[in-house]
Amino acid sequence: MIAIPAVDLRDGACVQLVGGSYAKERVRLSNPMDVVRSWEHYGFHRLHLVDLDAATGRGSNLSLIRDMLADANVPVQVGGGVRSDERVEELLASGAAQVIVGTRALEDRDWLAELAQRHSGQIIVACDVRERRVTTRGWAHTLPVDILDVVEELNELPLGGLLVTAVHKEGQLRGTDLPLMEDVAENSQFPVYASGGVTSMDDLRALEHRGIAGAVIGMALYTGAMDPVVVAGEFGG
Amino acid sequence: MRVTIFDYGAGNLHSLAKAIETAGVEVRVEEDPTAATDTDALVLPGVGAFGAASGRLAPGREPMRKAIVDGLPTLGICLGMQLLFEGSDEGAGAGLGVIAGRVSRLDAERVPQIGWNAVESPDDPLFDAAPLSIAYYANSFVCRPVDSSSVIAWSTHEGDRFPAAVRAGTAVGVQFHPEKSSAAGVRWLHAFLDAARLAGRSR
Repeated sequence: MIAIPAVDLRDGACVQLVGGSYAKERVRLSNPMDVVRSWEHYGFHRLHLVDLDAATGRGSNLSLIRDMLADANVPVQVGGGVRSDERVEELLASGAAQVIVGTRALEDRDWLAELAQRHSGQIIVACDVRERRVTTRGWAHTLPVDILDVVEELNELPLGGLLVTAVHKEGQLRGTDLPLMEDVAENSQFPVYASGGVTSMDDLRALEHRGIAGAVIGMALYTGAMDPVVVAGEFGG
Repeated sequence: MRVTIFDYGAGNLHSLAKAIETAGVEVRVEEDPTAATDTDALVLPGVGAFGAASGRLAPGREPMRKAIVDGLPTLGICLGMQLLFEGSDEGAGAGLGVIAGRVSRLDAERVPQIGWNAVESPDDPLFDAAPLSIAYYANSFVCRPVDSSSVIAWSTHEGDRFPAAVRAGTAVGVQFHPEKSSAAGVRWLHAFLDAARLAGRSR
């Protein structure tokens, strides 16, 4: 398993939100390019970049993302508000290793199927999960769908992976939702990336033991709850 | 048909067991290497590290090696593939030695390689039955067979070309994880089980 630092963009800055709430911003770093270089310097070999403004329709950090992709020396998975073929093509052409799609992928399976076939192994589907239910539209809208039913349907597609974010754990530094991640990993026929609440090396080891491919870490790295040198040393990839 | 997964005690085997069960076969997880060979098909899973797995294998290494050489259909996945070889730079202990060669670290800056990569130049009936052009890999080490005639598919990570799949008789090893390579990967896994079923009939 590898640990993947999250770089969440809002108004051109790198931020961290508590529980996915836009009102609860806890970290703000004004130069995301420096943040990327810093994670690379610590020894992380994969990054997770999300445009929070695009995800919620508040705006776009696209030109910044292009600059960051051009500058990065490691594979970067990029997401946030990716709802069209054009945006997917644009991000891949700009150097994204994988593109993360959320809302539309979950609501328009024909679109996702076509996209996944065209870009085998490069499309990651993001499922934001609150308890066991999948939520979309920047966490505001909850679809009454069980995550394992979604996994079952997605198993047919050549996906690069499934990113499961335990929204109820996010940014709280209280650990991950291990039973959720274990169930998803067991039932999926593609790599699973876990996000939300990763706080300790034990969290990482537990996720690895349950067959998770990668753990996205946000708050714990930005607040110093986890030492990036230690994390990258064991899970930097 | 009875399929046995040999458990090195290193991690979660449910995902693999489920993928095998969907082929409609009976799956058993066995920790004893000698008892594990009392089966119609043996699966060496891809979790854990070489040294520890070799240690678990040691008490039953010879009977398992003999069963495989004598025609027990066997699928080694990732670490399981590497155990078909003689030894590994990853850790102490012997592999099964079914295929001549050793396991060494990927010659690359980025290890482990975690993600989808190509399955190149596939040349085996299993790939005819269930075509697979890309698959999911999660490994730092790869197999280096003495004789490349055992290689039935290749892949490349950062310029290091390595065997994606090998075959020795009825034993097949794959560096990728078919159970995590989407529907196409699971179809490939089922193609192996189909072949194992046929091999069992003729044994």
